[in-house]
Amino acid sequence: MIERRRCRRVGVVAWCFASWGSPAFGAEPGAESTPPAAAEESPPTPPVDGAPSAPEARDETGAPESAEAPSTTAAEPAAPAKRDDSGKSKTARSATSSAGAEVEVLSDDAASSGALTPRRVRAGAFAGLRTLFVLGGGYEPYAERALLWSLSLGGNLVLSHEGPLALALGLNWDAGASNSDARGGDTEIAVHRLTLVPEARYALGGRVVAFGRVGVGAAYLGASIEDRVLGTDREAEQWVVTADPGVGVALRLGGRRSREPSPGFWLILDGGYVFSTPADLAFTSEDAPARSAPLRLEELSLHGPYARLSASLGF
Amino acid sequence: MNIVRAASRKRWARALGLVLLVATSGCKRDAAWDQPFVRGDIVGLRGAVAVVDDAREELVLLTSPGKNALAMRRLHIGKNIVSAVPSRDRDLLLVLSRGDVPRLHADDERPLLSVISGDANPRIVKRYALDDPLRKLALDPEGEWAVAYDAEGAVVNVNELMLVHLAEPEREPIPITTSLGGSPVRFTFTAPLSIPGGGAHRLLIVETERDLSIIDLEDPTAGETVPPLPRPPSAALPRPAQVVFHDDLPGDDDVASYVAVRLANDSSVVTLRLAPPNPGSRAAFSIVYNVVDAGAQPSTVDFVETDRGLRLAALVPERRQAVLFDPATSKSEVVEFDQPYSGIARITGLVADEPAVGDVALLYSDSAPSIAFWRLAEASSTPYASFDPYPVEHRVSQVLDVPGDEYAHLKLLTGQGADEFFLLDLQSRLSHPMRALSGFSLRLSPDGQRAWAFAPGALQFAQLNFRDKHPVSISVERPVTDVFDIERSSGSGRTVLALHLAQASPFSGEASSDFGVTLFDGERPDSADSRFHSMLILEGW
Repeated sequence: MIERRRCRRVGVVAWCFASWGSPAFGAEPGAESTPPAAAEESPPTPPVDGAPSAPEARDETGAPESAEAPSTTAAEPAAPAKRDDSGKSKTARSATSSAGAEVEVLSDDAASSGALTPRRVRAGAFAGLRTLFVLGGGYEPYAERALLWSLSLGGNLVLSHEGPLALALGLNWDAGASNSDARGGDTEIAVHRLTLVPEARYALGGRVVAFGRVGVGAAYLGASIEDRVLGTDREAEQWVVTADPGVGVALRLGGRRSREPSPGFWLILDGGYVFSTPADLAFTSEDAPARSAPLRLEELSLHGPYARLSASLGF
Repeated sequence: MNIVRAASRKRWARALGLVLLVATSGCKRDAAWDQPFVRGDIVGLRGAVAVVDDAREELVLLTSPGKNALAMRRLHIGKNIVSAVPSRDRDLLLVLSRGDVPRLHADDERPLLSVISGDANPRIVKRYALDDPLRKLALDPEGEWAVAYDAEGAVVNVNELMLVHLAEPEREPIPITTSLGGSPVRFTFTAPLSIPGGGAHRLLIVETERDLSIIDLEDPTAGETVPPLPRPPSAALPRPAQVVFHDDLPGDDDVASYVAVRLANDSSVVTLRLAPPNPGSRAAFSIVYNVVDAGAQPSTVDFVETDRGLRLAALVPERRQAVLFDPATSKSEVVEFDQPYSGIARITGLVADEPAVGDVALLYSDSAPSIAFWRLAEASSTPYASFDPYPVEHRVSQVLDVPGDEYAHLKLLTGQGADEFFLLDLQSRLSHPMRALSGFSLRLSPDGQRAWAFAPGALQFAQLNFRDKHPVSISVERPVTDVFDIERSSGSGRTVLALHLAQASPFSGEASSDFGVTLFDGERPDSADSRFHSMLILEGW
């Protein structure tokens, strides 16, 4: 209990000293009952692509590790050191400052070795369902309502992090389709978006991470319309440039209680606005008569707000 | 604390629910996308083709800015379009819409009569708001007047007419109620007819199933004149079938203009002479009524000038004769023919040897393969020698006039159900038989330079150029529904549009259809030089 109390008081600065710049993110997730001192009070590690996955520091047995920094001014006896299976010594001391405030500081040797820093997740993957509320024109022939549903798949890597902040880069693929009829003729459209997604994350605790991102990429539009004069379908396709800034929040599901994000399954809700260059689809058919003019409808502009619900696995 | 947390959770849950609701519902699209296209009136104008798109309450106007080029424009006309009628010269299109039915709110749309210019830049030039929804429209061949009629409602007066003075757009529509027993079926707008002491007035003659009424267009509210019609011996009600008129002949001492009425179920023909108005009457004229008997059911009547003056000619094919009535005295002369001619067309000014006196008429028959040139200057003196018959291969039921002056001496003669038509040169008296696809239709170009022949559903149509009388066949890759010859908006050249209409499968239970066009050069059409457009119901939104 004393250690837990101490752990809660570990400051952000102390955690940063202990973890920042450490290449070793290999510490095992800590046990929920006694989270690592350095990690508990420190800013949590942001998730990968909305999948917060900063690991809790734990030993291989699952017992929580505790890190006590040596105090600059000794106020009480140092806590007994624990040893994990790797044999690394993890010590921390509680100290009282000259002003009387109790602080915990990582020991120099622990900080320098990096052995006490939590493991940082470098990758994540997600799958979700996204709906785009199409405000742009030209979509009416393909859907009775101004919605485009799509399946979202993606992966990402954390490029750097500092405190509660982290930067990641992801690659997303959205595949959506809609079909309807336009004045009696069957219509169909498929949209495939491939975007590169720079992302900034801010951990709000062990279970909640907020993030903002901007997806930039290209979208492939493939559409068909039943031509009843020809008795066949006319088809068109075009690539457009697309960008979708958005924000979201990730919630870790299950797992042990933690004061920092950790690997596992995350539920992510995000939303934003999709921008897209307009597409001037020219519908043609191989069965059309010679010198057939392509059918051109109103320019299709797939822009509008979107929302996405997805599940992520951070690791 | 728990209460506060529970309330907060509820708020979040509601907000999340609202977001999900919006995200999953979306906005419903314009209902017009769910309305299948149902073919309405398709009208060829001087510089455009107008297609009524009922579902969108619009006119789709197809124009041609250049060779094989198509442009579309949509004009919102009004709700519930019921009729679209072009003027005779195809410079105007009149569209009647019923508006919101029933009209329950002040901002509900009223019935409208819209006037659209028919040139290569179609636009609404005038809109008339009508009091009641009317369903039918008749247009003055001179383009001066229009009549909307056939009201609908819980209780309607079937004889209510709405007269619209197109030549004076600022004038409000004039409601007219006639006192006829039947409902209007046909309207005749006369040329200016001289009235003794009253100048020349144009008249509107309204025919119903059983009677007729005459309205003075100089003063439509002055009241109607209803001449009596003879009751046929069968005791059935008299049924007007045709109205003809003639202005006073120049040089006559007495001013005498006439109207004649043929009945569909009696051998009698009614003649009406316009006379000075009765004292105290607001009307500008009175009528002198007379009835003559053709001996048998006449197929047609017309006023002609003979060597003895103005006569009313009644063709009686049953007896192979024509009866010439003097409308002033009712005396008659009979001309015996070799064939049962049933139709007559005056061609006096179009023949090579135009007579100094009397008319020349073209006679044709829908029951015998023969036509004849009838010199009416000799009809009284030598009736047996007054006509020159010409055998043709088919019976003729219709004679089409070529617009304009350059080829007005050419007539197109068609027969019922025939697969041939004739191009008759009135000056050389030569006929040029043309064999065509079965069930063909003819369209004359508004500039009077050519005609187009097509059979609905065929993959070919043809141009007949009047200059060399040479037909050119053009192939298309989709069945033709109609053909329109329009002037280009660039000002030079013409474009012909072959219309392709797609109907929904009869087994689909849908009434939807679509249409496309193939464009050709109107003057030198070439099957290898065209442009095909389809799915036009989705374009131009």
